[in-house]
Amino acid sequence: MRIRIPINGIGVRAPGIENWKALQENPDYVIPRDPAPEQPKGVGQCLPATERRRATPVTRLALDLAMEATGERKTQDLSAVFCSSGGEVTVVHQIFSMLAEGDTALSPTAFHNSVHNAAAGYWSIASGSPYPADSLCAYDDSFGAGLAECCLRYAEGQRNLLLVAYDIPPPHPISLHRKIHNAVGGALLLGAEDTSPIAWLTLRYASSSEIEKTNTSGSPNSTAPAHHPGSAMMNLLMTIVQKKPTQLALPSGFGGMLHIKVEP
Amino acid sequence: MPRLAVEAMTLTNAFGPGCGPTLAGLQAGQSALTPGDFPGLEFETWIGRVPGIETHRLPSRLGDFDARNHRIIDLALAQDRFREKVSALTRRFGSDRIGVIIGTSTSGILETERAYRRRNPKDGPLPDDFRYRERQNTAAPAAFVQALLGITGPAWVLSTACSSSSKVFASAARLLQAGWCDAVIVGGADSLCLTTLYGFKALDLVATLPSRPMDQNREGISIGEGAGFMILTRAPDAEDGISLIGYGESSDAYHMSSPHPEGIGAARAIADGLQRAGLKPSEIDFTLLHGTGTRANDLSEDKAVIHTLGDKSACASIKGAIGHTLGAAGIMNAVVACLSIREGFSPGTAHLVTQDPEIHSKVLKQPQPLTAHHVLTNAFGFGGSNAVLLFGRSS
Repeated sequence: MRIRIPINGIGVRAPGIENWKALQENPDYVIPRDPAPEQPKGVGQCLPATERRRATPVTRLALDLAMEATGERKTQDLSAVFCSSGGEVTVVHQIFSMLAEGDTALSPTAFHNSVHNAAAGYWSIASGSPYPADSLCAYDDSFGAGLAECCLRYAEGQRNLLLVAYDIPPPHPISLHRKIHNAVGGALLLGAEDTSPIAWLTLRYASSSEIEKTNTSGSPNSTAPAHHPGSAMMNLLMTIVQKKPTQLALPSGFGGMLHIKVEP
Repeated sequence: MPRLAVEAMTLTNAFGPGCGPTLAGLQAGQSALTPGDFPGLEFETWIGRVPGIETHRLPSRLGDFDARNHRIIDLALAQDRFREKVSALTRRFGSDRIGVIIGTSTSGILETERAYRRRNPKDGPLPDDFRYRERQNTAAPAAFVQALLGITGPAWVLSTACSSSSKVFASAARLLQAGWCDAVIVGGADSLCLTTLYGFKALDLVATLPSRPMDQNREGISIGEGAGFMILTRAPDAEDGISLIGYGESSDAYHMSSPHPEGIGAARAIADGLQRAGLKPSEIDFTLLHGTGTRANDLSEDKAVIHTLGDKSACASIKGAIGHTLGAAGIMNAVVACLSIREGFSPGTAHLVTQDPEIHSKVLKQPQPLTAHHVLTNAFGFGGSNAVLLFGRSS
């Protein structure tokens, strides 16, 4: 099945990129390979003050992305899919460090902030939406898996979908084993019925054997090897920035590809 | 929604490997919880520990994945002729037409906890045998299942705390309905670790005595571990005659770790599930509760059940028997729901002595014979994440 879905809103944060407008003004932007001196930081303005104090920096970054993509639009009717490779890497490191030193008096807030769906949970509080807020992970393919999940919900008849992809550099010593040098995130408002489209995507799933068969006959090539879980998301956003109809292939989670026709 | 055939199922938990020990234990009204003897656990509680998992070995080619969570997965997949069914479906459809959608909350963090104990706490690196991608990363269980079974279709992990391995069914159903897969292996796994033991302790949600869901003297959860799996296809008639017939999802939009006191989000998920299955509340023969045994969760869930199904609809919680397996709780309930339909019984609620007078649902204490056509399962998690499943006999 092919799924044609509109993008109705975009949010993005990366080193040197404050928002979607800034990315549009940088049509040659690439995620830096080395750690940038200035990293994007989230505020979490959409949260009630008590929750904002409790939420972690990575959760606040994810929520800022969500707010940019939704803009002035209401949020109470959104279904959300949050995707991240590392999730709450900082608080998880703090818990491991405490336990390693024999300090078992964990903070209850730190514990509930450590779940992979912390950002999704805080978002549901901030948005007031009773619709599902999913949280998923497919290592470097997390964005593709999240996009697949959103599009499958759309194909099922759901509307007003929010996709948020985010990752921040893990602290030492995990950083020695997981090279994510920069905080990068993006959010897409998809399939919203009351907001004019920025672009249209037409997606289909191509299995690995199909890719092998067709790779010689001009199917879209996969982009350069990812050096960041946000690379696939950035590739998609750059095609929209450059305003050229494009065919893209994004890894969709460990197997196969999403073949995407982008119509800005 | 169109029914989706349950082509195979298996689970492993404190009762032991495979459906057999769980079935026998639940039919006898037993509990597999034991006094907490987990290394590093230094407070009084009971746990649901998978027996013998410490000596279980993964195939040597998959040594990088070696983690307690993956050992439990490997043990589970070796039961109930599950791998034979995977092989048959792989021959039929091709390995790249089979998806793998797994729920977990812990992934392999126990091994990271241990690695942190072996480093210089000030600025030391982790030991050389530490593996981030294959053990700790949230996606590791999906990668492991793919590698173990030789599956190459779409794969990801859903991690929404204790609703994770119910939510996987919704994703799988959508993959099948869109024709992006011809079969999907769904499941979940969570394993004991100090982060969850001391984390839930910090929230004052861990019981000293074995967990007593719905009891007036309940004091919290007993943490368990386990893994379970099913294979779903679009086939109209399943081998065992059991199908997934609905699922429902919602968010509380209320609090990170406390359920909505009136159970509004849970009720919404149940209503969503009933609608998708095309069933009236009176057509639910039995409900496997999330039933964690905490004061707040059980009260909230009771209100949701009363609101949607009324006070005559039989229900029970298996968490007094196997503990709260967290990210695996959804698949534990799902497999037990299908066993109930297949074997014609309903489990009871182990350790429930006197039902809380504030809880008005019809909670079964003892296992009973039951001819069930439609069984509902509940799972609710941190972040106000709610997911329910409906299973039924194929017509």
